[in-house]
Formats: sequence, structure tokens, C-alpha cells
Amino acid sequence: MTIGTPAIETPTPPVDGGKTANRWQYWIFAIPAIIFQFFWGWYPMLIAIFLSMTNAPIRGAITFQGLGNFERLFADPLVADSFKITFIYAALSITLTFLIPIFVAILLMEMPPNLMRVMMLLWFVPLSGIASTIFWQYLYNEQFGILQYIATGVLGMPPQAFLSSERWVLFWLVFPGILMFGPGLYYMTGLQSIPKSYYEAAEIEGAGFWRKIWTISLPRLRPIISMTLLFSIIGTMQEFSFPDLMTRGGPNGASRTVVMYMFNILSNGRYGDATALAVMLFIVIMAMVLVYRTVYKDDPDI
Amino acid sequence: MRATCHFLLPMSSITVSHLVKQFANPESGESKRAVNDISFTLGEHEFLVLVGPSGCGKTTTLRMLAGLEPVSSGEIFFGEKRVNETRPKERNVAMVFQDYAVFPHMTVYENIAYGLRSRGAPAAMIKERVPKAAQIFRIEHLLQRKPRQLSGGERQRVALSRAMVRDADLYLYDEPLANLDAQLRYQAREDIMALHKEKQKPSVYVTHDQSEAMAMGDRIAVMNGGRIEQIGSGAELYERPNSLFVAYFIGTPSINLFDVEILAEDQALFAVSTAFRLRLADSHLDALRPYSGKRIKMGLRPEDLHVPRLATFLVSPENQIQGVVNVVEPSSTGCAVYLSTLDETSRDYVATLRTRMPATYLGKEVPLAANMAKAHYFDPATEKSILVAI
Amino acid sequence: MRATYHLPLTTLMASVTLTNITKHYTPPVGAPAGLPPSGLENVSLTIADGETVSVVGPSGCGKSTLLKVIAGLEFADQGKILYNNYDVTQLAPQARGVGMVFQDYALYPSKEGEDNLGYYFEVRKKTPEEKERRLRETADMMGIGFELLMDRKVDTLSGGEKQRVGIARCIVREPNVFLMDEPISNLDAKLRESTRTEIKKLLKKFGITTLYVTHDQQEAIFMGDRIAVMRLGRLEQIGTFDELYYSPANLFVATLIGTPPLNVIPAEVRDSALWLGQTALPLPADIMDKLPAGAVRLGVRPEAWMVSHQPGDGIPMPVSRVERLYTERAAFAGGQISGTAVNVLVPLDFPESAKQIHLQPDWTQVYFFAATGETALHTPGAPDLF
Repeated sequence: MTIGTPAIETPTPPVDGGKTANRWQYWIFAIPAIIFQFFWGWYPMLIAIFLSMTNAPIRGAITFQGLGNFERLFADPLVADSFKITFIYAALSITLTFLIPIFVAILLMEMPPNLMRVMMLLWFVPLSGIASTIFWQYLYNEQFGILQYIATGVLGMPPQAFLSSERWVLFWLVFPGILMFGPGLYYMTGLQSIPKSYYEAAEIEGAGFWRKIWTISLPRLRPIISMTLLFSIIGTMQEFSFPDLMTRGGPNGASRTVVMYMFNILSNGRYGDATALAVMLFIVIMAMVLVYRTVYKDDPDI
Repeated sequence: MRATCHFLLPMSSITVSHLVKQFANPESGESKRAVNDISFTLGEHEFLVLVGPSGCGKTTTLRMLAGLEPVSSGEIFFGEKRVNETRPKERNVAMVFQDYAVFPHMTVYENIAYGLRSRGAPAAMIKERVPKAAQIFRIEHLLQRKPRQLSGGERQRVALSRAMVRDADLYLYDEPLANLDAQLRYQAREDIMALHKEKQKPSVYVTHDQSEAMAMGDRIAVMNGGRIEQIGSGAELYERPNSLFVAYFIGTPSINLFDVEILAEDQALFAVSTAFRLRLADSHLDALRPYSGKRIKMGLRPEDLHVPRLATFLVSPENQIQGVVNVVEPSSTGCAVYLSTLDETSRDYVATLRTRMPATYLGKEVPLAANMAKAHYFDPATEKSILVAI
Repeated sequence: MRATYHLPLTTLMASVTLTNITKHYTPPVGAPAGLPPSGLENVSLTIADGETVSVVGPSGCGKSTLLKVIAGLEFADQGKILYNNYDVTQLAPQARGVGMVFQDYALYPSKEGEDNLGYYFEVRKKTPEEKERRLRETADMMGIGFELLMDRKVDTLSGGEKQRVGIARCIVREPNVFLMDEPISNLDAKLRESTRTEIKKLLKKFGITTLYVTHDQQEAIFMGDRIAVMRLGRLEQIGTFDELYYSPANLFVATLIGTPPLNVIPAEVRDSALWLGQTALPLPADIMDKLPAGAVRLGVRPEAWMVSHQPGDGIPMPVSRVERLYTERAAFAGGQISGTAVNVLVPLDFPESAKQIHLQPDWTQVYFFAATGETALHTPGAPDLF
């Protein structure tokens, strides 16, 4: 082509036969999520609320009972007890298995990388739930358990009752959680995402070990801490399998959580009452979450 | 009895001697020297720039000065005191990071006050100094903001204020302008010089951009492969580079390098290639005579190629290069012309002219006159300069 | 009729016309306030066949969005895009036949250079012969040493080499339009310099219609036949270097183009003279006619000052620092006039001892702006060289 020739006037044909973008594609991606959310989320919840006001029979006609189920539950002292036990359990569990790992994780990050890897391996040995429960039952055995040996043989204390003590049973149920490091992995991931230059800048600005933790690690972990705390509240309020396997609610009902009591009621065929208790628990947890969300403000600066 | 507390003595200078940093590769087990035996002294008010391509060891050197990276061997002295094992917080240095390292969860005020608080400064002093430092960098109206509400340039000024607010003995800058838009860089450079002027303390500045280095440094150390190739003022590096690397690295556009053969004819020497035949300047004859008949590398700076009509020296066919014009890049002071030689090697070269070249010259053949008195010559084996005796 | 592939590359090139392109982003939920919108506001622009237009502007000005809209990765809310005369506004990106080069290279890291280039032909089910032929042609055109790159794994290439492979990968597909998004900003300053020359030569050789996005005005000047300046989603001005430099549309363009930037000093027009602080300067009549009485702003480029060491020769400026640029054979003297930072181009041998200089603007090279806002009242226009 020589200079001066007019540019080619023919339109350039599309290479692929002219596909146009279809914005309906977005909906196709969203629909499975919406269906899932509805059938496994909202639908069971609405049905549960409805069933809690009926006799909820497995078979036969449903009879509407108004708030009768709830009245019965309010009159039952064991319900109040189980809520009290659940609150104590949740509070203990959050203090011990939620706060301690934050500091453990921070300390771990300060260790040389090799040592850190070993420590993490120790903490995250994959243990199945049931296996570790049986393991802990052995540890807590009042006659042959290693903890009894430590208490009497090493520390010279009188024999301990462990899981048979009404006073201490909740503590001993929470105790394994400390050693299992709880949500520590989340914290470690969070800590790893903090730019190294923040620590270096802080160090050059004269910050010591504790000041670095207080002014950088903790504030930067805030969103993760907040999220784990929320999950801890929801999770521990619904604790069932671990105490059930360890103590079956004993001794004397001292470790019977709400969900365990619900299971008892269910075993007795009182389906309506059990559903009503589930709804009560849902309302209590929802209230706690709402209070938490109002007190805790999301920080956009993270 | 003599007082022995070194920190109370005014610190005069920084001395680095035979500094080495060895990194072990965890996979292969081999160790690599990121910094390989460097030594320099930094005067009391001096602003030293470490410049070099990425991986040349300049940032590692800076981090060793800060104490963020342990020294493998060699020594660092702050004044009389050996600081090899001193932790960063005890060295009393201030550092500006490439990513600024401004803490996002603190207000600008708290960011600037951080170092003072860490060192337990009295509240009155913090209250007095923080707004003053912020004012110097024009961010006093932003003190209560969080970093996310700031632009990149403002964040950088927070980092500068944080360095300014304390009285450090050594100021370190790790490519502080690399993340700034071009237009903000010029102002930021002035801000950094303002900080230096105010503090009058030894400063070390790391950059990969030679034009930044040339504009800012009292002295410039050109680093390559863990070593300092040459250390000196901008003028020295530009006029008397001691190696091919320094000659190539300093100056934009880069020096034009040609493979030439030196041929003797009567009393004169000629640099000959397939594209040109240039007569060497008289002042270079003595140094180049031993190379006659050999192939060497010749460097001609783009600034030393001129339009024959406008040259300030005598123009003859013996100092002209013919080339075809590929690109003309206009600038405020003239233009840069990108050409290639007419022979089959079609070597690219550049000339920066003090006049504008009209676009009609694109694709045309033009002669340019080379100021041979300013040419550089390098031994192809050692890559050292033939003119600069070392 | 479909395009035939055996035509020489250049016949497939297209001009690109954008008419009134508008694109708004809804900020994501919970996004921090104050983020720049980076959308587009009524952008119209034509890139001629074979022309390179570079787009420059501060971050968040919408320059990358513009590129994505042309590529089809984003769709405009309003407006039209034509390739030649063909409306591609609603066309999916794979149908538009654009070649994109990214800042982060976006090569397939575990493949060799050659496979990176050939991938397109595998996906499009072309015959091996055709693939072979196109690869050879491209390698020939990419210049000396390119065959060597073809056999190497991408991981082992340097940044500049990766970008060459990236460009070659675009060229083999015979793109209608070439789109480059900060292709060299990840490279070292020195490497950037040689790579941009390389790219420019390739673009010239192939005569490809190109949009080149960068935040660096110097790079934009080098790459572009014309330069488009953007801000906050708007096209502020498009033109050659001379048009932007000597006839900027407004204050923003005037300060964006040129390093060190244009100095803008508050001044006052009074009694048919220009007052800077306490100094009155006589104004040429042709400029005077354009200016309102009262406050204005005077813009002077560093090279447009006439410098004197004699008191009384214009505005006194205390010299606060001198920056010597040996590579430019010049120096800049910095100081303040009426509280505004001013840079003055002085000779390289400017004496260190000079504490004060006296300045007079070269009236043929000055700019005037309104006291507030960004309106340009007077621009010098390109100078006559002869």
C-alpha cells in the first residue's frame, strides 16, 4: 500500500462469527446458590418455627398447639439448667480456646521457621473426632489416666475426680480444646498476611516485642478474631457430640447442654417440645449474634 | 575517668568495611553472595545513593545498615561504635520503605507519633513535634484521617513525616519513589531533599533509576552483582566511568556501544566498523595506541552526537556516522532521535539533540557528527575503561 | 465473507472509533469511600489505521477501563465502538480479534515461548502447517535473536524477553487492534528504556493500530503518535506532543506534560503590567488583550526563564538548591516566587555560590490561567524554529 491510498473501507469481519455477550449468564451462575440457600436454609427454619407450635408427630394428623410447647419448656427446670450449663460451657470455651491461641500463634510467628513448622505439625496432627475423644477418655481415667498420675504422682495433689466432679466437669471438657489449638490456624494465616515491612518499620521506630504485638499484630488480626469469635459463639452454644461422648451429660446432669437435653426429649418422642427448644436456642443465639454485631463495629481500615 | 557511653557522643560518620551478605539457598544448599565485599565511608552530612539493576545487592546493603538483615562478615560502624549486632531499635535510624509501611489501622497522627511513643517521649513533645513534621510535608490537615483515605503521594509524605519527627543518626530510603505516579515524583524528591537539608544527617538512598540517583546524590555508588563498581559524584560517573557497566548504566538514553577495530594510519588512529570510520581524538591517542589492530568497544553518549551544522567542534567525514531515523521522541529541550546504521548489521543508536527534528525526517538517512573527544573505550575482555587508569 | 489468512498482516488492521462511551461502576458494597470511580464519561476518540495512541493519566483516571471497553472485557453503558465501520459494541472479546499485552505478561509459565505462541492455533483448530508457517513468519519479523527465545521456558526469560514473547503472541493472531496495558512498568528503569524502543520498532514495522496505556508521561510521549490525556473518566485532550505541550487545553494537561512540571505562579494584572509580588513586569500587548484585570496565574516552564545574576533584572528568586543533571548537560535551580516552588533550567556550570538569581519569563513561551479553576487564558503554541 502506498502512502495516500485511502484506508480500506470494508468493515472488518468478526473473527468468531459475532458472539455477543449475554448478561443472563450471571443468573445461571446465581440460581444454584439461591436454590441451595432456600431448601437447606430458609425452608427448614420456617418449617421448624411452624412445627414448634404443633405436636409435630412423625405420623398422623398435625394438631396446632399454640405456645403450649413453650409453656411446658418454661416450666421445666431442666431447660433452665441446660441453658445455664451451655452458657458456662461457651464462656469457658471461648476464654480458653479462643484467646489463648491468639497469643500462641503470635509467639509461634516469632520462632525460627524450622521450629515453627515442627510446632504447627504437632498441633495439626489430623485426629478424627471420635478417636481423639476416646483418647481423652483414657487420659481422664480416674485410676489409670495419665492426668491422674500427673496430679497425684508429680504434683502431689489428692486424687482428682475429673469428669466425675460436678464442679469441674465443664472445665475438663473444655481443656482439650486448649491443647488442640482451636482456631490457631486462622490466626497464623492472618498473621502471615501482614506485610513484613510493618514489623520492620515498627522495629526501626523503636518498638519492642510487646509493642509490636499490641500495635500491629492484634489490630491487623481484628477481622479474623471477630469472625472466629462469632463462629465460636454459634458453635459452642450448640455443643453436643464431644460432651455427649465423654460424659453423657453427667455427673448428675452437670454437663448437659441444651442440645443434649433436646436430644433427650427427642428420644422420648416429644417432637413438638424438641422443636420448640430448638427454636428457643435459635432465638437466644440470634440475639447474642445481634448484640455482638451492634457492639462490634467493622473497621474498614483493615 | 572517661565517659564510655557512646550514644551520648555526637555521631560523625558511617563506615562500612568489607561487608558481605551470604544467602543460603534452602533447596540446593548453595550459598549466594548478595553483597560481596563492599566498603565505603559516609560523611557527616552526606547523601549517598546506591544505584544498580535489580538483584545487585543495594537493598540488602541498606537493610544491613538498618539492622534488619544480619551481617555475614565485615563490619559496620556508626561513628566509633561497631553496630553489627545492635538491634534495629537501638541503632536510632529512620527508614522510608518502598511500600511506605504506613500502618493502616492508625490515624496519620498516630503513625507519625509512633516512633516517639515507642521511645517514651513526653506527651508535650509529641504534641509539639507531630503537627510540625506534618506541616513540613503539607499533610497537617490530614492528621485525623486513616491511610486508606489518602492518595499514594500523601501516604508517602506520612512515611516521610514519621522519619522527620525523630532525630535519627542515619536516614535510610528504600526506593521511596518507585510506587509514585511520575508527576508526584518530582515533588517527592524535593520533599526528601528538604528532610535531608533539615536534619543534616548521613543518608543512604536506594534506587534502580539512575536519573533519580544523578539528581539526588552527593555521591553515587553504582552497584552490580553485589559489588560497588564505582563510587563518585554524578559528574565523575558520567564523564569518567571506569567500566562498561557504569558507562552503560549512567545516562538516559544509554550510551551507544559499538564494536570497533582500532587501526593505525600514519600518526592517527581510527575506530572502524562496517558502518563508519571515525578518527580518534588526539587526547586519546596515547591510551589507545597499544590497542591498534585489536577489537574493542567504543561508547558514544547520545549527547555527543550532533547535527553537523550545529556542532561546536570541527566536523569532517572522519567523525560522522550515517543512519536512518526510526523514531523521534520530542522533549522540552529538544528531542531524542533513534536511528540505525546503514550497513547490514543495522545497529541501533540514539542521539539527543538540542533542537527539534521535524517528523519529515522519519525514515530518512542523516549524518550525525560525533564529538570524539568525549568518546569512551573499553577493553572487551575485562570490560574496564581504557581511558581511566585504575 | 470471512477474512482470508494469507493476506499480509497489515490489510487486517482497523481504525477504531469510539463515540460517546460512558461506563459507570457501582462501587462494591462496603467499599471505602473516596475510591476513585475509574469509569468513563462520554469519551469519543478515533485511532487511525496503523496509528499508536498512548493514553496517560493519574491512577484511577479510567485509562485501563477504556482499554477494557475497546477489548470487550467490559461493556459500555452508552456509546458505540466501531472497528473500521463495523459496530463491535456488543461483541464478545474473543470475536473482536484484539491482541492484548499486559503488565504481568500473562504468559503460560510452564510452556516454552513457541508453545505460548502456538496455543492460539491449537485452540482455533488450525492445521499444523498453518501454525508452523505463521510462527516462522512471526519469528522472522520479531527480529534478531527471537528464535532463541522460542525454545526457552517462560520461567527462564527475563522481564523484557517475556514482554517480547507476549507481543509476538499477539502478532501471530493477526489482531485488528493491539492493546497494551502498562506493558513495561514492571521492568527496571534501564530495561524499560531498551524494551520500549523494541516495542516501538515492532509497532512501526507492523503498522498495527495500537492503544498504549501508561501512567508515565515520558513513555506516553515516546510510544504515541498522539497522546490522550485522561482524568476522572474524561478525555481532557488528545493530540501530538507539541499540541499538548504548547497548547494545553487546561491547567491539568499543562502540568501533566513536561518534567519538571510547569510552574504556576499567582500574579495580578494591574496598570497594564503583570505583578508578581512586588515586581511589575511589562506585558506584550497581544497577551495583555487576552487577560482580565485582577488575579491570574502565570505558567512558566523551567526552560522558559531568562536568568540574570544582576539585581533589577526581573523577579528575584533565592536559590534553595541546584540539581545538576550531567546526563542532560543542564542543571535545575530550585527556589520560590510568591510562595510557589519554581524550577529554572540553568547551565550545568551554574555557580554553587549563586544565592539569588533574577528571572524574567520569555514572553513567547508563557501560559496564563484563570485565578481559580483550570481555564487556560493564553498558551504559547508551538514555537517557530526557523
